[in-house]
Formats: sequence, structure tokens, C-alpha cells
Amino acid sequence: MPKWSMVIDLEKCVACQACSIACRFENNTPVVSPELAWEGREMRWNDVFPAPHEESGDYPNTKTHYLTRPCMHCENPPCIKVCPVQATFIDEEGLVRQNYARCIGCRYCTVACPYGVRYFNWFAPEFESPLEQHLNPDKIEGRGDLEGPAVRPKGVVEKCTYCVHRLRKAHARAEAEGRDFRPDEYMPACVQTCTGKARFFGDMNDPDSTVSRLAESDRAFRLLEEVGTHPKTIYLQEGK
Amino acid sequence: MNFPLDNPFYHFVYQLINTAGIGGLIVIVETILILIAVALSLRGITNGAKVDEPEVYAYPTPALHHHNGQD
Amino acid sequence: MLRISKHDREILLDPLFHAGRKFYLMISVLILIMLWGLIMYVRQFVLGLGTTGMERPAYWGMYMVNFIFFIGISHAGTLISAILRVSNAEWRRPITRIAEAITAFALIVGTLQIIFDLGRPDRILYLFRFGRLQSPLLWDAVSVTAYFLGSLTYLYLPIIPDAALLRDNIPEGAPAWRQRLYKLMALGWRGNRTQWLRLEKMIAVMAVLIIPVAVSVHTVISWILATTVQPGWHSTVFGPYFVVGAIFSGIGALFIAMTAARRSFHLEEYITERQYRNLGYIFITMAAIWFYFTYAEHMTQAAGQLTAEFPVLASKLWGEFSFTFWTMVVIMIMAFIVLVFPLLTPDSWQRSRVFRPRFALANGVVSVLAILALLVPQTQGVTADLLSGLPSPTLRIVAGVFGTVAILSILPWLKSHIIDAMIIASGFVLVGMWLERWNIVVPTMTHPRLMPVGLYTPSLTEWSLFAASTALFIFLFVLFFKLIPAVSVWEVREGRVIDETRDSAQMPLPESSRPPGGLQPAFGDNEPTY
Repeated sequence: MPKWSMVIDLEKCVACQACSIACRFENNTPVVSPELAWEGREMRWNDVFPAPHEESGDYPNTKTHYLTRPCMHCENPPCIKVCPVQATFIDEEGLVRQNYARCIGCRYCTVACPYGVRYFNWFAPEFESPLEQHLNPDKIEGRGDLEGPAVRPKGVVEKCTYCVHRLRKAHARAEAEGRDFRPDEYMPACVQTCTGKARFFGDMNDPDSTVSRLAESDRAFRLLEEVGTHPKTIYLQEGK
Repeated sequence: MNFPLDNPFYHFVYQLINTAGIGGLIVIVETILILIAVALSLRGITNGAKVDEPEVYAYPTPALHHHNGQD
Repeated sequence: MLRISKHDREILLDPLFHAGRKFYLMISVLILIMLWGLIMYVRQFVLGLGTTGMERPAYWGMYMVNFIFFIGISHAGTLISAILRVSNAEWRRPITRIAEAITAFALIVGTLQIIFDLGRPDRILYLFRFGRLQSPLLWDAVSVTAYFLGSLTYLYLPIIPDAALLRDNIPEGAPAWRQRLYKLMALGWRGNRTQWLRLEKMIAVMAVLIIPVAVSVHTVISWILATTVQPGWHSTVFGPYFVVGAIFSGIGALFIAMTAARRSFHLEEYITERQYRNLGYIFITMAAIWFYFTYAEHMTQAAGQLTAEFPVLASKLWGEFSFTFWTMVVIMIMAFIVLVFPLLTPDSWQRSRVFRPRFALANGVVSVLAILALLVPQTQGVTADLLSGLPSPTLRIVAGVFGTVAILSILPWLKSHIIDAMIIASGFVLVGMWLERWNIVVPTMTHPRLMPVGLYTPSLTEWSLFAASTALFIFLFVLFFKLIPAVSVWEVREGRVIDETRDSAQMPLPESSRPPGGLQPAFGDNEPTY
């Protein structure tokens, strides 16, 4: 069973936000008006923002360090521990997923997540024309499930899934072609689109995979290691 | 992450707290148990009226307790 | 057929059947507020939680604060009445029912807050269908359910004999449905010895059982916050801190409720100053423990200065939450002064001409004006020099001196008006405790680790639902005490008998050398039956 992991090389990242945009179109994240965004109601499963307390240099020659942040897909996720109805759960491949059909909208997981990767649908999502003609039709649906890029109802929590629908599709393709599924067949949209080729994705259980090797680098670190969440999204330090 | 989850006992306990529905079940069972206990006690009080004791009290008086236990 | 003395009947039972204009006016106002809240809730339900002021990162806001606050108030009741019952405090008798009613109604209103807060209230039953025991919210469901059912039972049990009294003594011309209601509630109560013994036994058992359940309820609520890793919440002291705060605010609510009942039903001879004095002592104790916990909680954060936690504390001490934080501290200190200082005031002050309320008021006004002048931002003299930005020291001295004189000169009045003093203290404590909950929930929410610092201002929807919740609480309270006597008739009557017996009882004398029968026994078999 693969253990999916992402490595983000901050040295290569140019903070172009292409990952954020790719994620938005891949996952049908609703857009909000500038006023609502100002109120803090915008949704960016994959966010790019200045790292807090990370400015370097003396005025006026300061440098802001940017952080791109998908879900950490922690091995010990604080969010799934607090969900009262198991609407969020960690699957056997280590992906932390969110079931929109079951979420009761108590927002306990958004409160518990120290990374702030979880977003709440304050209003019913609206897609202005022509956006609504370009929605990604993919979704994961089943009895009592509604996941992935499926358009969310109002009042539920949503989050980055490492594009779990792409994983499903890759599995289905391998099955249709009658062969074994290879871990390199699957990659989230943000990794695929990354301008600086700063993102790597792969199977952590395979010691020869790119991510395994990069994770051994002495530049590798994880966000907020002190809170004991054991993230599977790994960063490579900048400027070292 | 060295919590002994592969230990069958801890694994069982984890399944217990992590299975959707068990929590709800416990709340429902708890409610039913409390309601049954209350209903039985109230029935006990109601049935107490059938005991053949001629004198009745609007409130507990020393006379009521004086007959109690003979101590 | 159970009889009740004419006096008790006139004061305790008869008002239940006469509703004045005031009653209807109050009910209509409360219903109007609740209707407004309902409209706002329907709007929120249709549009989504975006109608509140909550946003990222302040995912929880006023609803959570109100939830903790109302559940906290519910501790007044049952916990106080159960502890007093178990410890056989005789003075509890006239106030137990009011306390227990507060519990039941505050729990209803508190649980409603969770439903307000849900993004998908239509899926509320998923909590049972898919409930997961690992989530602290489920612990909450378990213990609040036990507490609610337990306190309803605990409220109902002592009502049974009173319902029977009402059934047998219902005035002429009372509506038939009330006759039926009391008959139903009395459960065929006859009041014979077996029934009394069973009832008393069950009340005693419930009183013991309800105490650990009550403690568990607010502990679990604190654990909803403390089990996360968020800065400022991840604290071991939260459990007892919340329980103490809950009892503290609960006693405040109890004081206000019992004074309201006392005034509106003219229960002056039932609820006397003795109840206020004794409950006041418990109030002072809780205040002291609350200060201790508050200090312990903030001191450890201040000493640690962890990168994530310290900004939360700083926002309370001098940041954007400094107003709510210091208001809380100041009014809690005021409450403590109102409670404790009158006890230390010498009696001779009451004869003094200086220490009069009017004099205190004048001094207080001067002091408040000086404080306001200090708080108003200095519009002129913008300068980088920090010292010159400080307000004038004269104003500070004026505020301090006049404030102290105001407090000192109000003390004799507070001492002689214990009921008013308790009401003032309770008002302070209720506001202070609400602010305390606010200062716990909101600053942590707006100072997350990896998100930009947020701002949270409750919207009209949240304020409306707060008002409507409070109105619902008062509404249930008013309606309930229009149906059931505010004072437990039989318990008060029993207490009176115990007092009389105690007054007439003789000390057991050493064994006499004379043959038995020579001495009159303290209780005789030929004691008249009441």
C-alpha cells in the first residue's frame, strides 16, 4: 500500500500561485467576491502566503519568504480525532479526506487544525458565468459519500485531498488496461502545474522514490513539527 | 508514532472509539437506561400510594419519621 | 386530600392562578424578542452561516461563547441545590426549586446554541447515527444528556407532593386543564408514609448522583477546547477552571432569579436575608477560587512566552482584546469588593454622615469622568516620545482618590442592603463570566499559528440570537413559575417543623436515678399529627 507524500522545495518555489489556481480549477473551489474575501471567507485549498515571522534582511533590503501550503495529510491528524461523525477520516493510503455528505458543519476540525487548511462553506457556492461552464465533472460519490471536486453544499467543511479523484482515475485506468497500478501514474494538479518544478509527489513507502530521497535531505523539514501531527507534506528549506 | 496500536487490546479500544455510530449508540443506550431508571423509581413512588396506611402527610413531619426504624 | 395552611396557600398557590397585566406584558415582550431571533435564525438557515461575523480563522464565535456561558449557568442550580441537600444545609429549602429550574432551562438554551452553530442543522441526527466516541463533542453529548435527564428528574421529584397539594387545593374557577395537569404531575400522590420514604430516598440518591455528572459536564466542555493543540487552549487547568467559573456564574444567576421570584411573588418571609448571606459566603469562596485559577492560567502563559501562545496572551493584556480582558478583571474585582468589603465595615460607619449613597454617587461620577477623560484618545501632540503620550497624572490621581472614596462611602449602604448588594455583585459576575468565556474562545481563534491574524465582530444575527436565547431562558422561567410554586411548599413546611422542634427540644439529660417515666420525653407518641 503506497503512502502518498508531497515534497515542496522552497528554494525553487517562485510564489507564482499557479498551484493555487490549478487547485481551484481542479477541485471546483468556489470563488467569492472581494468583499467576502476581505472578511476572510475566501477558500484556497492550496494557499500561498508570506510565512509568518520569516522576514529577513534590514529595511529597505528586506526579503519576504513565501510558503505554499496544501493539506499536510498528517499521519496523526488533529482534525479527524475531533470529528463527531467521522465526516473526515484518514484512508488506508494515508490521505485525509472529507465527506461532504456527512459533515454537520460544526467546524470543530477547522478549529483543531493548526495549519488552517480546512475551509468552511459560509454560503452556498456560486460560480459566475463563464466559470460554471468549466466545472470539473469529476467527483467521488457513493452511498453516503460525496468527496473530491464535487460541488459542495453550503455549511460543510472542505479541504485539499491530494486530488483523490485523480488517484481513483489512475487506479481505474490501470484496471481497465489489465495491469498493476504504478505509483508514478498519479499526481495532484498542483504538482503537475508547478512552474518552478518545486513540487514532488510520490510514494513514501518506496525507498527509491523521489520523495523518499528528498525527505532524507538535510534541508527537509515539516511545518509545526512541535505539535506532533507528523505531516506527510515535507518542505525543503530555502537558502541552505 | 510508537503507540502500540498493533497490540490487539489497544487496537480494539481504538476501533471502539473510532467507529462511527458507537458514540451515538452509547448516547441512546444511556438515555434509555436513565429513562427506565427514572420510570421505575416513579412507579415505585406511585405504587407507594397503594400501601394501606390511613394517615397522610402534606409534608414530612417528625411524626412520619418517628415511626421509622423505631430507633 | 392534603391540606395546606391558609397563609401558605395565599402566598404560594393563589398567585399561580392570577396573571396581572405585568405578566402579559412581560410575556409579550419576550415573545417578540424570540420571534425576532427566529426570523434571524431562519435567515441564517436559508443563507448559510455567512450571515454571522465568523470567518477564517475565527471559525467559532459568539455561539460557542454563549454555549459555554449558558451551560455554565446551569451549574447553579442542580450543583448548588444538590450540595446543600447532601450537606443538610437547612437554609437551602426555599431556593432549591428556583436553582433546579435554572439548570433545566439553561441546559435547553445552551444546547440550542450548538444547533445555531451548526452549518448543517438538518443533519443534527447524524450525531447519533454516526457518533464517534473519540470526539470530545460526543463526550459532551454523553454528559449533557445525563445531566439534562438527571436534572429534569431532580427538578420533578420535589414537585410531586406540591403538585398533589395544588391538585387538592386548586381554587374555584381554575381552568380545567390545570386541574388535569396537576393531577397528572402528582402521579397519584397520596402522601402516605411509604410514598414519603420512597420519595425522600430517591431525592437523596439523585442529589448524590447529580454532583459528579454536573462536574463532568463543564469539564468536558473545557476539554472541547483543551484537547486541541491551539495556542492558549491546550491547558490542563481548563477542566477545574471551567467548573469553578460555571458554579460562580451559576450562583450569580441564582441570586438574580431568586430575587425576581421574591419580588414578584412577595416571598419575603420565605426567602430571607439568611439565604442571601449564606449563599453569599459560597459566592465569595467561588470568587476567590476563580481569581486563583485565572491568575494561574495567565501566569503560566506569561512566564512561558511560547511563540504561538504569547501573542494570544499579549492580545488580551494590551492588544485588541485588552478592553474585554481588563473590563472582566475590573468588574470581577468590583464584585469581590461588593461581596467582601461590607463584611469588614465597622457598624459605626452606618451612623456617619459622610458615608451616604448620595456622597458615594457624587464621588463615583467624578471618578468615572476622570477615567473617561483618560480613555479618550489624545488628539493633539502626536509625538514619538512615549512618555508625553501618557495622560495627565492628575487625572489618574483624581480617578483613584475619588473612586476609593466612592467605594468606601457606599459600604455602609451595601452592608445594610444585602439583597441589593448581592444583585449588584451578581450582575457584575454574570457580565464578567460572559467576558471570560469570550476571552478564552475568541483570542485563540483570531491568533492561529499559520493564518493571518483575524478580527471577529459578532454580526446582528449573533446578537439577535443571543438576545432571543436570553429571552427564551426568562420565558421558560416565568412560565414555569406560573404553573409551579417558586418555593417548594412541602420542603419549607418541613423545615419550619424542624425549626419548631429544635426550639422546643430539650437537651438530653444524663441518665436519671429516678424510675423511667418521671421525665417528659422530647418527642412523644402522642405528638399531634400535622
